[in-house]
Amino acid sequence: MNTFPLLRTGAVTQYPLLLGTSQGVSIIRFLDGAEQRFLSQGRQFRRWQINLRQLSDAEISRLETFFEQQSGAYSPFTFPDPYSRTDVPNCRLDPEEFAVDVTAFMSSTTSFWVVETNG
Amino acid sequence: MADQCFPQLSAGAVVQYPFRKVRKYRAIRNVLPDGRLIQLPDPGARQVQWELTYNNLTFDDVEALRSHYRVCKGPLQSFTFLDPMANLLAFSESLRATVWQSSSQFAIAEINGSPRPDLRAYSVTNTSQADATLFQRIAAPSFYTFCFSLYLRSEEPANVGLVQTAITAKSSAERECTTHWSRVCLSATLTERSSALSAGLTLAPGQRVYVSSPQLEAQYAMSEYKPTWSRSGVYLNARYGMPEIVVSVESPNIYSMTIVVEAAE
Repeated sequence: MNTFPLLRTGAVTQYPLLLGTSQGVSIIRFLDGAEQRFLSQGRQFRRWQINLRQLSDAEISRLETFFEQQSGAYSPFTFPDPYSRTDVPNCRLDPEEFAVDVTAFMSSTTSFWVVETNG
Repeated sequence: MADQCFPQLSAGAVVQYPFRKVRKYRAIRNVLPDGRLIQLPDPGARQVQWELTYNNLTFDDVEALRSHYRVCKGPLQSFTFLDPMANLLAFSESLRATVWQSSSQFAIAEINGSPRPDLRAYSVTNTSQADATLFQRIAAPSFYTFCFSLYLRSEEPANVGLVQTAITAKSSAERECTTHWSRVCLSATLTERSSALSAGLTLAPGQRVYVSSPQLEAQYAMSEYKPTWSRSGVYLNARYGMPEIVVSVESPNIYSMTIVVEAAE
């Protein structure tokens, strides 16, 4: 399983980092206002929004290569979560496209999500 | 096929800052109740798209772009597009790949000690009795401005020839090769109008140098090295991604426009 590439500083991402934790729950509401709730997702999953600015050409090239190796959202990889400082397996990229805004010489910007999956 | 290459601006570049590049992938996905995924990749759906914004263009540049759009009949016919963010050489990390050709005999071996830990380096020796050139040919207009760069090192200070050639036209220059890794380049605009360009280095008989990170770009100055393997930055079947080309006349002889180019991976 591949590991998410680090920036040349050794960091995983830049500030600000958005971290979300989700739990899928289905809710059935009845006419009398009562509810029936049940889990629609076997476990809670985390996701991280990676916002990167002022990246060099080499850093963008490494990320682009990583997206290609992963075939977009297809292959899982290990993500070094900077928040919990643990390696999270079975993560995937989202969305299925890698967009780069080249704003100036040696200065590119990109943003994408890393989502935790169950394999 | 229109057999045309996307025009280079009069300034010697294909694009202006800022521009946008998007790589698109597709996977067919089934999500199980416990969150597990069953996926199949769809490699045929891979696509790359460039959104190019131009400002302060001259009339000549605008007409070159509009003329190219007309010749290609908009999105109908394909053309060659040189990725401004990529290395136009294939297998830049593998000098023993078949895309690297030579006019004579070369001994090429991978060595330790490259300029960067994540890059590869090779020992290249001209084993023939005459000057020989190790080069790669790409399908690109030879009359565009290109910059060929690479890292060089040798056991003793020496001169190495860098060369860009078309069918008959040639631009070459000698660069000093020291005992430490140094990056050298050759920027040239050949006058011959052919559809292929070769870039490489020329060694004297018996000369040995250490080479790493060759790169070719459709611009005057070299940028940071981008390694390549089977895919380079030359897209032979790119198409326009918009049904209409719109030019905004900002003021006398100052124009702006946005162009979308797409290519399958």
